[in-house]
Amino acid sequence: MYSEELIDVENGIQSKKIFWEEGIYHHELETVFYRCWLFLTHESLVPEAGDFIVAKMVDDEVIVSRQKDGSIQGFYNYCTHRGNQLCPYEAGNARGFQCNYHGWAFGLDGSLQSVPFKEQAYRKHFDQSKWGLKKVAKIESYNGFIFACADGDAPSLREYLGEMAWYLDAWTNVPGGIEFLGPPARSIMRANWKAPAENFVGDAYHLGWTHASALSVIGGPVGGLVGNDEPPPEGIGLQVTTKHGHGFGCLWDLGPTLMSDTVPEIWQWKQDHTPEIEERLDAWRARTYSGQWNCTLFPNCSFLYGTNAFKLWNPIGPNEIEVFTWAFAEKRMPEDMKKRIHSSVHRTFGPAGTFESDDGDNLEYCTQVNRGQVTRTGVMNAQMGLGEERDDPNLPGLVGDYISEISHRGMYRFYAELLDGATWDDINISGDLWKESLMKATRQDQESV
Amino acid sequence: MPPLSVVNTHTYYEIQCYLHHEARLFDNEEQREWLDELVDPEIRYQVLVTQERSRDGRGSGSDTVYVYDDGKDELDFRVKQFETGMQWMTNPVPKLRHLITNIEGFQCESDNEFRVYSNGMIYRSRKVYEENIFVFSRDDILRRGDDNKLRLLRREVLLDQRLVRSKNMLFFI
Repeated sequence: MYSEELIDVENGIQSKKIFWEEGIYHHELETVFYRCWLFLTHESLVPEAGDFIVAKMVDDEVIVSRQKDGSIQGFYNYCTHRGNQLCPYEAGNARGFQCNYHGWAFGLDGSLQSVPFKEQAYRKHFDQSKWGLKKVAKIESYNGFIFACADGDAPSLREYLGEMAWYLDAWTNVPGGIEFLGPPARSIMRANWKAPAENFVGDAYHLGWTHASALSVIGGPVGGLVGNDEPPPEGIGLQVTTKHGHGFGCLWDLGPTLMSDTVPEIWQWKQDHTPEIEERLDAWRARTYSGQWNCTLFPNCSFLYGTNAFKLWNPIGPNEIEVFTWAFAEKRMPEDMKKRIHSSVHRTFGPAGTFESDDGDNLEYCTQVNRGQVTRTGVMNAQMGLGEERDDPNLPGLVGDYISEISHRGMYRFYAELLDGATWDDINISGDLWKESLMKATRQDQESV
Repeated sequence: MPPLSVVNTHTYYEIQCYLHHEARLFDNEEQREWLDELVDPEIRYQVLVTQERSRDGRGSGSDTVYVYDDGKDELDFRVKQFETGMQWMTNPVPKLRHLITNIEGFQCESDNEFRVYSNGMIYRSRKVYEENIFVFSRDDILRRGDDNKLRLLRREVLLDQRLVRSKNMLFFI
């Protein structure tokens, strides 16, 4: 098995090579990034017919456009003639796309509409109808979040999100939906894509130490986390991992702390709208609505709800990523409130963010040290909370303590399954078996009692 | 708006001294002195990056990303964060150099305010191997206080890079 030397699922140990080696990276492109649904953008950024944005699926550029009938389409961003990049813009509105090289023009629907002096130059051996733009195999959105997948055999986006969709509904399915506030900030981090993915998937442990400077200036209840002097009280939150590697954590009571100064009314807003979440869903999820979430939607899309930063870690090599950072808010919030949320997000987690600047070095050097030939023969430890996983009948996925690495283990379990060549048929057939390897330590503890 | 008139030689010299002074404070980790002495309490400090769209401007939404969009309190938060001594990235001391050029000064409608344009480049080097360069233009308003000193009232920095080629911009511009 490809993953045998790299990932020890049962013991929560990973080889450092997965953060560095070129060969593993190329294998990931063919397995992980080919099989999985990747985040492109949000529907609120392409509200009108003809609106488009150019998104990245690793190195492939995809034009995501709103069609005349309101649907969303995704086409690879190259001209089918000699292969030039078709659309040189990040976003805009267009009736179609015309190549700068020879002027081939494509409709919004991807069809080849016109070819300069076609009749005189091409004569008969050319079938214009066959040279439309190449479509992405699958493109769908969930509560406005647009994802695409290169694997035509992949399950629907809803099935791919799996157990996580149940949790996401708490804040993504509010009346009026979610709005992305402007274009993303874009920056470069010399980190392997999995370093930030695992940080967001369930690393609450780093908060008090990595972010000591920012948290101590904020003070108040979060000031108590500074320096990791004492573990946070039990029951402060939880982490959840799922079959497809997605992980989410919720810190119950400190939800929008990071935007308190800029958007003080956010606390009241959450309080006012919690009952409606409870009515629509249930009391448990209504409580998460006012919490602070960390989350990674496997493989490379992460967010903090409560802080409202949405991130994409798009790989540009084994040890480098492009970071996309968007701000989001509920569409129904007053414009002035959304504007301040926008500022708050980039102030905390944008390229000059007060928290972002704390994380960058850790993520880069978790990656860069593996340049060392001997260093990368080492392993990484994600054993925190091993044996404490709970299969809660009321909560989808597996549940662990807020300060634990259950979601790291869950993410790398699915990662290993993909590296080993699992197709979607294999993954679907295996049902709930995924929990067994993660709960082996728990079972052993139970047997020895 | 009527055409702006160029400031006199003496004021231009003062403006130049101001910009060089703050650059030195930035580079020497004297952010507190900059904020307390060289910044007006009503400051609006913004650093902008713009999304690349067609010249026809068509499409929905704004193209602006505010990398910074701060008032005095938010700037103070950043300085305090540095002062905690727990901002691990600043240890060892990063080497920072602001190079400021193309300075122009104009008289605003109000006698005690000046519109100041400048271009600049920041070089950052840290942890032996790391190197970054940031290029920008600035559109400032400097206000002369009752004590005759110039202070920064508004700064709009336009970063000449859509993609920030670094993990962060942990410095003032």
